[in-house]
Formats: sequence, C-alpha cells, structure tokens
Amino acid sequence: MLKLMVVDDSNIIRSKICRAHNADKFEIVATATDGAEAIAFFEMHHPQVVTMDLTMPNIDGIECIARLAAINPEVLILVVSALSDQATGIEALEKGASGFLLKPFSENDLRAALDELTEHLND
Amino acid sequence: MTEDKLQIFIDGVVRYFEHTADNDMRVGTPYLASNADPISMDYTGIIGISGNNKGCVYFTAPKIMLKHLMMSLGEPDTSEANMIDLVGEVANTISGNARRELGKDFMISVPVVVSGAPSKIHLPSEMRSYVVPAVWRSYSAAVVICLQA
Amino acid sequence: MKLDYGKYRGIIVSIALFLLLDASVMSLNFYISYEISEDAVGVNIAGRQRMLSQRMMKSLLDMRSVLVASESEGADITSVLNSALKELDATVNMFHATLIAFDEGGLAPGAEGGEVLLKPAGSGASVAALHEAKQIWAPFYKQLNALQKTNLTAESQIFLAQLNTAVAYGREYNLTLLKLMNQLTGELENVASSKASRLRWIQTAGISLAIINFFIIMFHFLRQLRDSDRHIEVARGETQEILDTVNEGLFLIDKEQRIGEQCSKALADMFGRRDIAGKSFNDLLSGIVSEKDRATATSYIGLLFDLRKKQKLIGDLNPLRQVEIYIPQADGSYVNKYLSFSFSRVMSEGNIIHILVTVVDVSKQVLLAGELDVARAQGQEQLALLSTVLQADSDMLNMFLKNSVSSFAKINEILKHQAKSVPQYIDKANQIFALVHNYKGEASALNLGRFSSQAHEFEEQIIALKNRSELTGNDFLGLAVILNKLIAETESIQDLLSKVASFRSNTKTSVATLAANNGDYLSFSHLQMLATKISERQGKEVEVVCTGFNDVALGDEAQSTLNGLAVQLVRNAVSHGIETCSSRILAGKRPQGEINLRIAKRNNGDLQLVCEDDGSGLNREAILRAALERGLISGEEDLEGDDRRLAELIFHPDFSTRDAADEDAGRGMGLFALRQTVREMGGKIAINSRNGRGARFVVSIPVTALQMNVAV
Repeated sequence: MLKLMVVDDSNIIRSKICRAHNADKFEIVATATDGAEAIAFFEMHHPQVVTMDLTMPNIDGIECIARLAAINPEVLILVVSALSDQATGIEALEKGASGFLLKPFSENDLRAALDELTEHLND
Repeated sequence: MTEDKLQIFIDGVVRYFEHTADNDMRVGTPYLASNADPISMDYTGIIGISGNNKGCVYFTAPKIMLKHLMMSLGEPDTSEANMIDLVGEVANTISGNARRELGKDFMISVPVVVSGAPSKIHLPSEMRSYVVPAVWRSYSAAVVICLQA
Repeated sequence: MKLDYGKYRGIIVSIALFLLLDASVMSLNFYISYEISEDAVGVNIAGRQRMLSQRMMKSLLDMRSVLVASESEGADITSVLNSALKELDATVNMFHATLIAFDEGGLAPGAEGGEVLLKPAGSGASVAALHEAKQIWAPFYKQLNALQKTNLTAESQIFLAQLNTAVAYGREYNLTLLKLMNQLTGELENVASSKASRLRWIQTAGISLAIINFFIIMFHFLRQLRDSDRHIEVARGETQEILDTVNEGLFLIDKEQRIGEQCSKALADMFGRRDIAGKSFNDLLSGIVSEKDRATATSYIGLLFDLRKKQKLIGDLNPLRQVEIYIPQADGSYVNKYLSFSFSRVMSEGNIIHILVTVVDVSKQVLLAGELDVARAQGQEQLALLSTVLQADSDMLNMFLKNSVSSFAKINEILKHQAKSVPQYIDKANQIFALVHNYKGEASALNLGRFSSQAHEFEEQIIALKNRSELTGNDFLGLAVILNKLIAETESIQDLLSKVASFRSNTKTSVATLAANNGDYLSFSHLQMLATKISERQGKEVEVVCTGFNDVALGDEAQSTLNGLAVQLVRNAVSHGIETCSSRILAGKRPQGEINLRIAKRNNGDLQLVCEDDGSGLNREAILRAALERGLISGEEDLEGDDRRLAELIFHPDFSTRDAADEDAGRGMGLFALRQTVREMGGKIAINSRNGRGARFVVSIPVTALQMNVAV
C-alpha cells in the first residue's frame, strides 16, 4: 500500500480524488486544504504520493511542492490543476512534481494518472 | 483595433520627430481610407504585423519632405539611397515602439522600404485603413494602419 | 561498444593463418640458413684437407731432396730439417684432427685460427670416402709420427730410411687421398646446395601460400565491406526516402537542445529555411513564436530529459502542442501557420539519449475551426441584426442605410480636411456631431437600438473632445475608430439585407412590387414610434399627427433629408416641449401631448416643414440661465424681448437646458444639427413660442435644393 495525501482547497475535488483513487493500491493518510496544512500533515504521515492543487490560500502549490521535495526528494507529486498557463505547470514540475493532471478530469483519468506516477514502484 | 493600439503606432512617429531640430511635428486628424485606393507618397516604409492583429502599418512621405527633413538632421547628402534610409529609420522607430509596447501579442517584421504604394498583398481590399497625417513644417506625410479586428 | 566477433571470425582466422605461415617460413628460413652456413664451413675445411694432403707430400719430398743434397755437399742441414719437420707436424696434426672430426664429429682447427665444431659426415658417399681415407691415412700417420720421434743427428740413417718409406707410401697413396678429400668436399657441397634449394622451395611455397591467403583475406574482407556498405547504403537510402517523404517534420534533439543532423524534408517547408540540422532548437523558434512560448518550450524539454518526470503525465504542459508561428517574408509581411509539436523520449539502456520531435502543420484544421467559430459568431450577430432589421420598415431601413453611408462619408471627409487651429478643430467636432446626431435620431426613429446606442457613444466622445483644453488632430483618433466600426456594421447589415432581398424577390414578388409603388410617397409612421419611445422614457405621452405627407412626392434624396429634419424636430419637441403627464394635468391640459407635423409646398417654391407642439413653449428663463452657465452670454447682457438672440442661443452647439445627456437629448446639439442641415440647403428656420401653450418650428427649404418632384 502506498500512502497518499490529497491537497486541494476545493471540497469537491478532494472528495472526488478520495472516491476515485484505486483503494487496493493507495491508502489516503491525509487531506489538506492549503499548503501550510499540507506541509504539517506531510511531516506527520510521510505519504509517498501527493496530489497537489496549485492555487491555494496561505502557501500556494508551487511553494508547497518545493518544501515537500526538500523534506523528501523521493516523494511523487501529481499536480492536479486547471491550467491557465503552461509555464506555471512547468515550474511546478521543476520544483519537484513528477506529473500533471489537467482539471477537469474523470475518475478514470485520475486512476490512470496515479498508476502512471507510481508505475516504477510496481515490482 | 482599439484606439490605444493605434496610438502606439502614432507615438512611434512622434518619437522619431522628437529628434529633429525644431521638434515641430503635428499629428493631423485621422481618417479612413479604402484599401482599394491606398494612400501613398513617394517613399513608403512598411512593417508587417502578425499575431492577434494581422496586417500592416506603413509610413509614407513625399520626397520633398524627406529632403528637408534630412537637411534639418544635418545630412547634406539627399540621395535616393539616403531617403530610403530615412523612411526605413522612421518605420524602424514605429516598429521598435510597437514591439516594446505590444511585443507579446504582436509579431512585428523588419521594415521594408518601397517607392510608391504598398502592394495588394499588404492591404486586404475589403478593409479600410486608418490614415494619420503627420505634418512637419508645410509638408504632410502619413502613418497608415491597416489591421484586422 | 561491443564487438561482434561472429561477423569478423573469418577475417580474424585468415589473418592469424597469414601470420602463422609467415612465422614458420621465417623460422625455417632461419634454421636452414644456419645449417647452410655450417655446411659452408665444412666445405671450406674439407677443401683445406686437399691442400693439407698435398702440403704433407711436398714437405716430405722437400726434406728428402735436402737430405740427398747434404750428403753430397756435407752441409749442416739439421736446423733446416727441424723447421721442416715442425711444419710437417702441424700440417699432419691438422689433417688428422680434421679427418677425425669429419668422421666422428668434434672440434677441428678453424680456417682463421680457433676451432670449429663439425658434425659427423652424414651422406653415404662421404662416409665411404672418409672410411677409405682413414685406412689409407692410418699407416701414413704412423710413418709420419715416427719421423718426428727419430733423432735427426744421431740416427740420420734411420731417419732417411723412414723418410724414404713415408715418401714411397705417400707417392703411392697421395693421389688417392687427394681424390678422397675431393670426394668429401664435393659431397659436402652437394648436401649444402640441396639444403639451399630446399630452402628456396620452402620460401617459394610459404610466400605463395601467404599470397593466396592474402587474396583470400582481401576477397573476403572486401566482399564483407561491400556487403555491409551496401546494407548501410540501402538503410540510409530508406531512411532518406522516409525523411524526404513524410509530411511531418521529424528530428531529434539532444540534452543541449541541439537539433540532430538528419531531419525530414517537410521541415524546410514548414519553417521556410533549410539550415535546420545542427541548430539549437531555441534558435529555430526564435522570432517565429512569442518569447514566452520559446522560454516555456525550453523548460518543457528540460523536463522531458528528467527521468523522474512522467512523460505521459506532462503532455498537457507542452506549450507547442498547437502554436501559431509567423514566418517573415522578404517583402516584410508574415506568413502565419499553426504547427503542432509533439515530443517523445528516445531511450537507450534506461537513459534518455534524445527527444524525438514530430511537427505537424495543422493550419488547415485550426483555420477551419476558426472559420467555424467566426461563422457561428457572425451567424448569431447577423441573426440579432436580422431581427432588428425585420422589425423595421424595409423602405425606411434602406433610406436609413443610404443616409448612414453618406453621413459616414461626410464625417470622413470632415476628418480628412485638416484643421490648423483649435477653433477649426472645434468646428470640425461640431460638424461631425451634427451628422452623428442626425444619424442617431434616424436610428432611434427606426427603433435600431444597436445603432442609436453606438451613435450615442460617438457623441459622448465628441463631447469629451470638446471639453479638452488643448485639441490636436491626434485627439480625433477615437472618432476614426468608432466611425470605422459603424461603417463596418452598416456594411454588414447592407450585405445581410441584399441577401434577404434576393430571398424576398424570389418568394414575395408581389409584396416587393407593392412596396416599390408606395416608395414615391413619404411614409412617416415611424415618427410616432420614435415619439412614443422617447416619451415613454421620460414619463410622457405623445401623439404625432402628420399632414400633407401624401401631397408631395419626393425623390430619395429629398425624402432622406426631410426625414432627418422631421426626426430632429420630433425629438426636440418631445424632449423639450411636451411636459410629463403629471405636469400637464397640473397645468390643466390633457395628459397626452400632441405634435403636429405638416409638409406643404409654398407658392415661392419652398417646401415648408412645420412642427408644432402643445407643450410648455420655450422657457426663456431656463434658456438664459443655461446660456449663462455655459458662458454663452455675459451676466450684463439684456435679452429681454430679443427673440432673435434667444433663437441663436438655442441653436448654439454647446447649448442644452437639460442637465444630463442621454440618448434622447441634452447635448444641445440637436437644434444645431438641424440648423446645419437646413443651412447647407440654403433654407431657414423660424421659431414661435407661447409660454405654457407650445412652440412652433417652421423650416423652409428651396425646392431646387431638395430636387423635389411634385406629384400630379
């Protein structure tokens, strides 16, 4: 089981991810509504996989990704965002995320993205 | 085409004439001209524009004005080559100004100078262009702006 | 790089064989040459035996002749004999040692001092010769040794006898011995020469084999080389064919984001340049996409080279997935097209070595989609226009459009005519305002809200312009922009109408004909509509009563002009003359106001348009107050009873008694516009006003100016 943390300020998206993820593979250890919460939970629960919104109150997604990657460089972060501008998404990946999922997404999209993100951990 | 954007091209010409000794360029009242019958004088410097708005902007001036302008700039050699140079310079100032102000949305070409009117390629005939007279001393040149949307 | 030994085995074996052959020929050569040089020594020494056997004989004979001579002469010969004996002894020993060495193998005195090792003679002939020589030599050797042992002075007779015996023996066998030594030498020579010839054979054979091997190698190697060259050539040819044929732009980029040496031909057309191979990708994009996209693309490719980023999960971040590029042309213009770039990693042994870039020209698709969008938007806009237009009377609409076009042309002419001073600019603005105001009135009369609100916007801009302290040509730019927009919209509505007209003429011919017949007369029913609309907004009720409209038939021009004037008069009467319903009730009037509009042809040839309302009349005080506020008159001016001066005030472009401007009134420009039109045609305006009872505007225009056709 991989420990998964969901970071998004939107209720709907959080519950959608909680509903849609593959429960055989992932265990949700925390859900955070902003960057500050995410960092606190991250240090508490040590998730291996994180889904991350980019526009959030307090500490925004990009900053949050940088901090999480500094704490654990091995963490797999999937950015989940409605993209206004590709440069922002690219910056998020440069800061340490490993993949990008465009909002809006279907439940299948999310499952496929999480599988792809963790595919090298299968064996 | 919004007024602000048109103004940027006019400002380019104004900026050029700021270098002249008397800095006495007046912008006349802009009006519309059919592209089927484009306004042109002896020499024309054309800037191609692409991007959010497509089309062209050109500066056209009579020979006699260029001649006096050159003399006022302290250049005694009023050969044809120099006149073409001068018109190119004005067009360059216009394009440089536009590039600075609109760089992100516009692709602005290096100016090309021709004698007489710009060809049909540059001016889609179904459109009208804005003619902005540029009056210097007793001479009148013009900035012509023809951009879609 | 791993070497494929299987492929090269043949050539490796061949070369090894070649080297082995060379080595063995060389060692044989070395060995045999050594043997031959040994044999040469043997031959040399065997040759010496011949010489030694003769020398021995000669020494013996010399000694005897010395002895014989000494007997007769009595001289002392001891020392001579002793030295001869010594020499003989050396010769004999050398001969003997050499003979034994040839026979049994061993050391023999060398030709130049020292000793050489001889092998026992091998061949049958030489053995036989040696054997015979030994038999002959053994007794001779004894006799010769005896000579050495005999005392020369004491036993000279014995010595002589021994010498004689030796000479006799020597005489008998000397030649045989020489012959045998000759045989030995010859035999040894034969052996040596046979070895030399064997050596030649071996060399010849070895070299021949080596040459054959060499050719085999060459043949094989060349064939392999040719085969692999051909394969490479075929493969390269196929790659080239693919690269020349595919419609996509294909190339690789490396970690430094440099484009590879091979790229597909389609790229040259896409980018309008041929020097793409080897360039940096960033340079390729320079000047043809925006700076921002270029920077983003560089970062994106950086991500692709990072194995930690999931290729399948970053596709959405590709900034070049669909990008508009601008290719500068020689004439200064741009050609734009839409390209779609896709990137995929090229992996080798778990590392990303290149990114394969595929570029597709999607201009057609994008333009098609764009056209569809434009068509959809245009459709919606045209539908909105159509619904507006269909409400309006078609003849009125045509007239309106025609008027509009000519107004716009006039406005443009006014703009084009360059002014030199601020008053001239103000005048220009006023002239334009008058035209726009007329236009607005007509649009509003036809209930074309879209146009009247645009005209209102136009007016606002002119007002803003007039309020500036300094006025230059540049300030008129906004007017040109809005004029352009109005022209464009009017053109599109005309376009639409001509489409509708062709549709109508096909289906409703009779209606069209009817409408055409009615066209000769003014139909001013829209004036009631205009009045109702304005009065509703102002809490008023108005009836417009038109008379005389069917008594005069007018040409199109005249109709337009009269229509414009009537519209202004009605607007003015509703806005400024008629009171609100409540005010009217208070004043003891009917709540509904009345505007009488009359057209009549007068005897002097003028056409007279009269607009009479039952409103409040001109409010002298309000007019004076407003004029004072706007600085049109000074406080001291006494206008009591000066109706002429009062009229001038209300026709002034800057005059209005209403506080705020709206679509209906308040600019004060309405009457100014009216006067402009009338003046242009050489007409006059007269005003009568009765306080609280109403006002009457009488407009007279010469028929000639109107080009009027009087109906029968």
